[in-house]
Amino acid sequence: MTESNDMNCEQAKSLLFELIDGSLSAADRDAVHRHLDDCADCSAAQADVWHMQTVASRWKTSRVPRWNRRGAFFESRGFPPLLQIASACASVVVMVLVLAQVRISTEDGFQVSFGGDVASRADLEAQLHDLRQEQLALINQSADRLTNQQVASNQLMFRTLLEASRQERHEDLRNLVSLVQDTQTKQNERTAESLRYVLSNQIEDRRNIQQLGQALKLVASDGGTL
Amino acid sequence: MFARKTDDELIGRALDGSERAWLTLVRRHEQRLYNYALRMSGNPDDAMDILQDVLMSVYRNLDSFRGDSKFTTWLFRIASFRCTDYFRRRNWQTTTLGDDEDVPDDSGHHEPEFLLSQVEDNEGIVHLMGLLPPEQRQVVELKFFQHFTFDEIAGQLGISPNTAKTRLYTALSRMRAKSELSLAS
Repeated sequence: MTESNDMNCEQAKSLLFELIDGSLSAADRDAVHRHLDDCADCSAAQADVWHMQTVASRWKTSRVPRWNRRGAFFESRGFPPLLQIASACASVVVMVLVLAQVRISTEDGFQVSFGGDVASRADLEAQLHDLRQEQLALINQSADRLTNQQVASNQLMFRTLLEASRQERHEDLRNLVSLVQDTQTKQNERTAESLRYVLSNQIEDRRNIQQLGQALKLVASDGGTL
Repeated sequence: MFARKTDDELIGRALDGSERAWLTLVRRHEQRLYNYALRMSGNPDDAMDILQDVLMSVYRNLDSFRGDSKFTTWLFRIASFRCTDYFRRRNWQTTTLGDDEDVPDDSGHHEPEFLLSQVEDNEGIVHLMGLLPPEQRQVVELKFFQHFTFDEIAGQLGISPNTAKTRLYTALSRMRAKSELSLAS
């Protein structure tokens, strides 16, 4: 380290940037200048700083290449490690089951076979044919059942309608009979009334005739003078 | 009319789940970071990898930003860490001329600005930075291109301000010496 005046190299170098920027106080600036005048090492450092600043100012800012910012931060998060591990374990288990040709069956008839014998095409077609026949039979049964249900339903509906119609006819007939009876009763009453009237008239007429006959008898008994 | 949102406002919104705020923050700082990475690595592909690595690290640790310092200071602290890790994985020493080489005496008998004066484009600057070992390169980058104070650089690199100054002047001396060797050869 070179000692010069009242400032050493470390102190001088710590103020070089401020000296170049012009932000030093007058006293510090003079002290640094006095040190630089006597110290080649620090003077070279000052030149280095100056030239490096010049070089840095020549940097032409490069544009950032196009990149998928949204995809980098929000879309490509992938699976969490636990899921990846679980997925890998499941794959290994399945591979072991397939290689060992494991078959699992339950009393309910459920069966799973890993890596079993491959069925022939003819077997598959036969199974497919059987399945198709079963499906057709089931469809026909369903159709018959639906038809029978429809017929029964229609019959019930007709019976209900007939019964309702019959009841209506009975009701009408009863009303008609009642009406005829009423009419006949009224007519009988009117006939009876007429007969009573005629009878009373006949009685009156007979009474008049009797009176007239008596009168005539009196006339005859009196000499024939009225 | 449309006030530019501050970094702190954008960080707050990003922490609330706003993708748009985060992408705005990325667009605001990515160019500075990319150029930093370009000077540090020396090639665009590595620079792009470093940029994405740094931003991903910032995104994951955004909730730990307390606002005690400027966002850019915090950003470049992470960038320094990620850059060091990145080149450590890629055997950084092979990209430099070596950290242990003796620096020749430069007692003022040469004109050191000769090579520096020829450095006029990005390629020359990248070559110049490539002459330095990683620790010195980081200090030069943060001081001359990012214009941080020695205290800020020290905080970002986890060293003392005096160590930062020593590394800087050693780097400048080394570049001058290398340029003279290059000139002599």
